[in-house]
Amino acid sequence: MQNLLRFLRMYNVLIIFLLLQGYSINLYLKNNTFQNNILIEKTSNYTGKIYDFSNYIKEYFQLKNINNQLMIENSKLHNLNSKNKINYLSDEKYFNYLSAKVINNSIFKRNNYLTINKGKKHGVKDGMGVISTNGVIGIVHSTSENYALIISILNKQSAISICLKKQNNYGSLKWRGFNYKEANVESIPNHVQISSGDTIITNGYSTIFPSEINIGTVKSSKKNNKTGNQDIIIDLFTDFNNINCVYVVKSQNSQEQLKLESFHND
Amino acid sequence: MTNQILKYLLQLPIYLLIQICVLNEVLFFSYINPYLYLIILIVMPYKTPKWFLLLYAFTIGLLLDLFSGNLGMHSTACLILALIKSPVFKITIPHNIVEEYDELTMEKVGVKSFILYSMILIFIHHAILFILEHITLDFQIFIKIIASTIITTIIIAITQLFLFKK
Repeated sequence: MQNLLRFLRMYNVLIIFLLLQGYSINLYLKNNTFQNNILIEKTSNYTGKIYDFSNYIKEYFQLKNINNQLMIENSKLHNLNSKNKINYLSDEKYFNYLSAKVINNSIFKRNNYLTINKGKKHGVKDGMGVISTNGVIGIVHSTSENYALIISILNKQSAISICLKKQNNYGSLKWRGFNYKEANVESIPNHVQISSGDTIITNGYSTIFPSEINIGTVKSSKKNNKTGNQDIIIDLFTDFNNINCVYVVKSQNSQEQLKLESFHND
Repeated sequence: MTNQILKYLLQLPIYLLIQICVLNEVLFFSYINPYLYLIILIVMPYKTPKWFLLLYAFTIGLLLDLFSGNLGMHSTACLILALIKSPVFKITIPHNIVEEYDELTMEKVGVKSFILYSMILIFIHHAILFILEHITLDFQIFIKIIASTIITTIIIAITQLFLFKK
């Protein structure tokens, strides 16, 4: 006790300094998104390499899973191929897909990010959508030469516009934290009839995702008279705990659409 | 000493208001912003209790941060300024010139050594502040740090001339 007091008296200035400095650096790191983004952009090339290496080892243990996924996907593609011959001349927005491997992933934090092994070199840009075979994953947040950081759905900042498969009502997807298998849908008004089990898909308005990509099924819905919108909880199709292969969505006509819409927004 | 502490506490809102309402609107050459509030930290007597200096520097930095909306930048820079104040004092200002509880004004310390002393402190403060703000280390930032240091030093020297004239 005596020693502790003496220690405190001797170093009180240093202790005060460290406490206050730690607090202010904490404030700085928490509140300055612009600076944080630059830091992440600069360092992600190096952190990416480390994750790449650790993933290189982990991969061998997951070969079986990946194989299964690929088989399922193959069969889906075969089906699509045969369907496509019929509406060959459809005038939908034209999307390209770039396959990528997830090299880092988190699900238990409040704000979760993924890292993939494709970057600027391969044509990935900020704001592109990312999907997997099961459904939506997230949106590209920043890119370096070889890697890209993705804000997954499981993040405070992500808000993906969705619609109901049956009725075409639009809402947005939010994640409240805690459970990586569930998410919330906001801004669907009370009068819309929703039963549990309804499928929720992306709407085709944005240039980020193609239309009708699966997101999840409704688990429960409750009318909320205060806001006028329903509180909906959905089960996500994607198992975020187990993602290996994802696809970056590149929209061909996005520039054209955004340009046109920017006139309108001004 | 308690008298002096009270005096500094009363001075804080005045300098803060001048900084926020007047000087933050002034931009020399469109990107140099003078930081007059550093004058309080620079002028404080050598024998001010260290804990008070640190807390004071942190408070004034935090208040400025709150007004500018970028939390943590000014407080980090001010704390480091407060920490290195006494070593810089020992290096730049000759012994036995000032009493231990005297304010370190230009008149008492001498023009040359005061400018050297304040310039070193301001340079370090500005370097930390701007590097935190821009997160880069290139030529442009270096120029900005140097130019801002010179302008802030000039403004602090002028203020000294007005304030402490007999």
